[in-house]
Parts: sequence; C-alpha cells; structure tokens
Amino acid sequence: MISVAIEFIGTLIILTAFEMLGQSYIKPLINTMAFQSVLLAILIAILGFQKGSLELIILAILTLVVRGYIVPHVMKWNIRGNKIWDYREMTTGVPALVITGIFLTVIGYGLYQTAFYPLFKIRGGALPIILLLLGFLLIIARKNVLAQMVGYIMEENALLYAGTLLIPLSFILEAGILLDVIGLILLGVILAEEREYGILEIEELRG
Amino acid sequence: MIGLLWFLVIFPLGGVLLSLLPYPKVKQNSTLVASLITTILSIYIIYKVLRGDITDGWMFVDIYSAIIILLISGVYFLSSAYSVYFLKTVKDTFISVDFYYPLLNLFALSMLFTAVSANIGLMWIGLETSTVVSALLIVLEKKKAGAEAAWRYAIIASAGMGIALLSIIIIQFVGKTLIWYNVKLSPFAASVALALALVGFGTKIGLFPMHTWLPDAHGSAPPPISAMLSATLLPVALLTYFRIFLIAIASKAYHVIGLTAFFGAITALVASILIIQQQNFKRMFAYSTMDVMGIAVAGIAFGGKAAEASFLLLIVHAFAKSGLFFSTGNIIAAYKTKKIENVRGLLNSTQLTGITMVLGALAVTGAPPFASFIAELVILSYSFKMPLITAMLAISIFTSFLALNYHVAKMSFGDAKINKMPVYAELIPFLSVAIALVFSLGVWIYIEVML
Repeated sequence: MISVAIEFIGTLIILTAFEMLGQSYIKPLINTMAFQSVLLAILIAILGFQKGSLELIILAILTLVVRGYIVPHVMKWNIRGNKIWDYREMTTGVPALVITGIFLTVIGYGLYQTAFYPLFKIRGGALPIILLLLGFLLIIARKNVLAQMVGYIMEENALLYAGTLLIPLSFILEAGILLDVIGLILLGVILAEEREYGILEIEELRG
Repeated sequence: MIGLLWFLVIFPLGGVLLSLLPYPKVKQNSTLVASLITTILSIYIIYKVLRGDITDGWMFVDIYSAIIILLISGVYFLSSAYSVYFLKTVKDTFISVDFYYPLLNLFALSMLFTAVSANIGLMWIGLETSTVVSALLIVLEKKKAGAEAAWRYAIIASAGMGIALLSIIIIQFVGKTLIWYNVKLSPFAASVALALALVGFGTKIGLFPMHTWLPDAHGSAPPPISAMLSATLLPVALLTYFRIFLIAIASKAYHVIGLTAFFGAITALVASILIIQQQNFKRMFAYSTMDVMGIAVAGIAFGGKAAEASFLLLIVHAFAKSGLFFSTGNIIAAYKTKKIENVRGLLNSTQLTGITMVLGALAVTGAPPFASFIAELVILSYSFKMPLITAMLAISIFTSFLALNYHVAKMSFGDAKINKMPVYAELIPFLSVAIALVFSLGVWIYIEVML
C-alpha cells in the first residue's frame, strides 16, 4: 500500500515537471515548483515513517519549509508589482519542449532500466532520474534566471528524491541541507543581480 | 588530542571567523596569517606522508592528497598576499568588499576539507560548497559580464555535481561505504559510477564538452580568484575523480582507463585549438588550464608513473598559472584592457611582469627546464599503447606550446608607455612563477641523483 502511494506521488511529481515545462507565465511556474516541493516533502515523510527514520522526517520538514514556502515566497515577492512578469515568457516552442520532455522521459527510463535497475532493483527509481533530466531541460530551455532557478530547484528535488529512495543514510540529510542553503544563496544573488543590471538573460546557456 | 590533519581545517576556519570582524586590517592580516600557517603545515604534511599515509577519523592523506593540500595552501597564501594589492584597485563592488576575505578563507577551507576527506560523500559536500563560495567571489566586481559568468558557472557546476551525487549514491548503495579505499563494487556498478563521476566531476574539472563555464568564470573573476579556481579548485575536483577511478580499478572495471584517457586527451586537444583564436588573455589562460587538466586526467588514467607525473604537472601548473593570473591583474590595471592585441611591450615597460609572463607561459606549456616538461613526456610515453590518445596528446601539447607562447611573446615584446606598477604587485606573481622554477630545478636534481 505504501509503495503504491510512493509511486503515485512520484508520478504526480513528474506530471508537475511537465506542467512546468509547458508553463509560459512565471508566477504559475513558481506555484507549480512550490507544489512539486510539497509533494516531495510528503513522499519523504512517508518514507521516513515507513523506515522509522528521524533524519528523513527532518528532511521532509526542511523541504516543506525551504522549497515549499521560503524559495517560492521570495521569488514571488521579488516579481511583485513588476508588469514584465505578467507577460508570457515563451510564446513559441512550448509543444517542442513538451515533446522533448517526453523524449527525455523515455531516455531516462531506458537509462534507469539498463544502468541503474540491475543495481538497485527498485521499480520507481526511474522517476527521479527522469525528473533530473527534465530539470536540466528547463534550465537549458529557459531564458531568464528565475525560470532557470526553478529548473535548478527541480534538479535538487530530483537528487533528494533519488537519495531518499535509494540510500537510507544521514549523508542525504547533510547533502539536502547543503543544496537548500546553496539554492537560497544563489536565489539571493540572482535577485540582487537583477535589481542591479535588469533582467538577466543568458543566451549562451540555451541550446 | 587533536590530530595534525585537523589543523588544516582549523586554521582556515579561524581565518573565516577573524575576517568577519569589522576591521579591515584584521581581515587582511588574519587571512595572511591563516594561509601562511596552513602552507607551512602542508609542507610538514608532505614530509610526514613520505613516511606513510596519515589517517585520522574521517580524514585520510596520502601523497596525492598531500600534494593537492600543498597546492591549495600555497596558492591560498599567494592569493591572500596579492589580494592586498588587488583590493586597492577595486573601485566598485557588487558584493561588499567586507565579505571578500571571509569568502576567500571559506573557499580555501572548502577545498582543504575536500582534499583531506576519506569519505567521497564529504568530498562531494566540500566541492559543492566551493561552487557557491567561488561563484560569490566571481561577482565581486560590479560588472554584468561577471554576474552572468557567475550564474552560468553556478548552474552548470551544480548540474554536474548533481550527476556526481548519483555516482555517490551508487557507490553507497552497492559498496555499503563511502570511505573510498574500503569500497569494493562489481565491475558493472563501478563502470556506471565512474561514467557518472566522469560527467559530474568532469564538469568541475573542465573536461570537454562540460567545460563551457570555465573560460567565462576564469575570465571574469578577480585575478586572485581566477588563480585559485585554476590552480586549486580544478585539481581538487580531479583528486575526487581520481579516488572514484581507483575504486573502479580496484573493482576490475579496467575499460574505464580508455574512457578516462580519451576524455582527458580530447579535452586537451580542444583546449589547445581554442587557445589559438583567443583575443582575451584571461580566457586564453583559462583554456590553457583546461589543456593541462586534460593532460593530467589522461595521465591518471594510465596509472603508475604517469599518475605521479600528472600530479607533478599540477604542482608546476598551479604556481605558474597563479603567477600568470596575478600578472593579468597588473596588466589590466596598467593597460585598462583584457585584449591581447592592445597589450605590447611588457618586457620594456614592466620588466618583472614581462618576465613572469614569459616564464609562466613556458612553465604551463611544458617547456624545459620546468618539471612540466618531464611530466608531459612521461604521460606521453605511457600513452603509447593507445596510439589515438598519443596522437591527440602530442598535437595538443605542441599546439598549446606554440599558441600560448606566441600570444604571450606578442604581449611581451615591442614598445609601450605605461605608468610604473607598485613593486609589491609585481613581486607576488614573480614569486609564484619562481616557486615553480625552483621546484622544477629540484626535480631535475632529484632525477640526476636518483638515476
């Protein structure tokens, strides 16, 4: 029963990733990121209760607070009142991006089945690998740093997901906290940069 | 009783804490003292390690990590010393200059933490920390290019470290430990873990095609930070990869040798070709770093004396490249440009900087009498069993030698009228290259005595 719940939440997380790939507006993108982080926190909490691991429960709370609330809250606070964020960021390329996402999902599954499954023997382990690839796609495909930051959080979510699913050890707690701290620092810096230089668009990261 | 290795972490940590105090002189002097003591300690550790590996709890130092510790400490000290001059030339900063020394100390601390760790998970944590700290240092000067380069670096390096984490997850899951010398995997698990580590840590090492952050970050960072990125951060990432490579070899996944050698050689080849067309001298030195790292990665793949030669190459490169990057700070201050074509007559106008540039360029491209010549020769000789790798390495060594020295010669000769630089500003870069030269002469004498 618990394993079904874990796989169901995992599938929902992948669906949120696709919603983010196709989302042209920045505010709903941030909201979906927050929702994805909340789903991940629930998943980690279930695993924590199942394994009786206090570390995983602490990690679930941290994920909920930092990625589910603080990061999206700070991002939305930053864009408040700035009309430019009310416009579509992408007007073309959404279908191509979603199709690329589907393609990456197949690749991620194939990669997991050939390289990882023989080692882990965990059926749902393909989901974090797919999420990681979709996070990379979001970073590569988007122009502005806030959308890339969302991609970075998705990538972090994938790593935590993989870690909690595959290795029951305290290292993942330390790594998770570190990733959160780094995410917050990066967010702080890019927001400060945008105030200083205007909206940053990193053309060379595309393609 | 606190063991010797703990002090490698304690002194930079002391530097971090003291440099947080709101007194500029305390920030500067505490960093200088912390880095100097760490350097002296790292020399003593080399002496101790020559008599046997040192283990202390989660820490482990063998000759390879001792060399990396020496590089970090030495360049940390030189960068701290050069920063005294550099900060006087900085007018407008994006991050308050008050945070410069704490971040510099933290950067060194994160790398030393990585180098002394026996646990690959802790090494990953140290490297990931170094990414964010160094990204903050890159945006010190108020320039949009720096801001964008730092973001690009942070996002690409973090993505790479994410893939590296998957490698660590496999090692933990299959090997049941992260203490690298205790890990035993099946050949299949070792191959998968190494392939992920190659992409993940390879991003941080600057391996082709994950190198795209490297020229931007090195080119935009303040000179002392460019020196630390080039001379220490990349070798620390290489050490981490080397540990996983040793796990793979111990697990009988021998085909990783060819894979690693190929990625090293192709990196060196691509970098050497890119050096030819560079117009910005900082980016040119960044590609030169990529070239050297590629050769070093190929060297560790061959093992034995070639692996030792890789670390020899890293020593010479670290001090010579630091000297070159510090010199770029002097040149930018004097000529107000980063363009190669706008800089002429260094040997006429600023003799010491000119000499530093010429000697430094010869050192990093493996010209005799520098020990990098011996190192590259040994690596090349070990590659003979893989003719394709030999050809790629030989072309890259030859191309980078010609291209880099040609560009540096153009900058060094001719006439120029510029204001005199402070002696101190010229002395630190020269000292860096002089260390590489004296060390190289020591190596020649050692070889002469031993053979």
